[in-house]
Amino acid sequence: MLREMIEFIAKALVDQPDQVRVTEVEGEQTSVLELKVAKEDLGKVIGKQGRTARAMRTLLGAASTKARKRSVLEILE
Amino acid sequence: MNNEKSRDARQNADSRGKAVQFIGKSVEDALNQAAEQFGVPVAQLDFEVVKDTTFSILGFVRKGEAVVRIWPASEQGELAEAEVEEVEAEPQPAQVQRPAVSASILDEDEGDDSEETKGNPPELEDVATEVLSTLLDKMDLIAAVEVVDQGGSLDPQTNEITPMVLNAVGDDLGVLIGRRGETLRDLQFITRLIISRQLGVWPNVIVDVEGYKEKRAASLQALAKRMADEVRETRRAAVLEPMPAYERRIVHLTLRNDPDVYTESTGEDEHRKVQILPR
Repeated sequence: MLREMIEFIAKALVDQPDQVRVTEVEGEQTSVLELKVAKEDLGKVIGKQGRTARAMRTLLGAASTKARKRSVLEILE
Repeated sequence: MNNEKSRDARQNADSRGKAVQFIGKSVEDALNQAAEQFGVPVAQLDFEVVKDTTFSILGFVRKGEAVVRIWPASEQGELAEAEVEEVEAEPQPAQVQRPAVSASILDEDEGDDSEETKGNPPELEDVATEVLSTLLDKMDLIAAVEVVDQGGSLDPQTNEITPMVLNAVGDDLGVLIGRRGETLRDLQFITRLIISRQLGVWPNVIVDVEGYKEKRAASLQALAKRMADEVRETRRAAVLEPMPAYERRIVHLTLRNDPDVYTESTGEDEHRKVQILPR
């Protein structure tokens, strides 16, 4: 479901929402969420000085505290 | 603070002509009445706040009455002739939502790109509530979003249009606040960003969780006043803990009319803090 959170935010921010892919790579303690967007939209999910990416990571961290499982966000280029 | 303002107002009365006093349920209400009376937009009023209802940083509900003094522009000759008179607001119990300052200006003066026209679009309430609710739902949190304040009125403390305030209430929302409110800051950022994509304008909206910011504002005001008293007595500067920008702003605003102390921010980024110094 954290995958859905990242997907919701990313789709809301980009120009090409149909190009948004979030895949979850589950580990034992950590799961990695890999976010892929259209090349032109990369800046939109990263933001000025990485502000948007940082905010998404903060929210992911907050949500995964409750889920008791660490999640990290990787934005694929 | 207010006494000083009204003293200034009296002193200025001679140079600006006679003032007319308006009383309303809020400063905004009083200004709207004045604007109606003079037939000019609120933005064109020359006014002084004689008495505000309650001190309010985030634009939360005010109680009691507010008094403003208006100097009619010179074109309104007949009103300028009038003695200082008090125009009592009619009791308007049902009128909790007076037309917002920004909205009334938009009505009368469309196309004017002065600051006041940057009011929030009417769809904001629905869009903002929807965006925040969806976000919280996707975070797997059980929460309801309430609109604490519609915003859109003129804050006499800052002379700015007050923001719409959303508050999330629910179970275990502490994770949304985070250390020094950092998570809440990022939640607000993402919420605003998504809203701005949908509405095409950057929204004037505050996101709060369990009234955290409101309580924090109140305790910061109390802290600022307490520290100012200390500085007044000892004549020595006091340094507060590092705080985020909007919290430092609350301290600056709380003490900006203090005759004995002034405030300054020092340090960089996360270490930036407010200093209270003797004048």
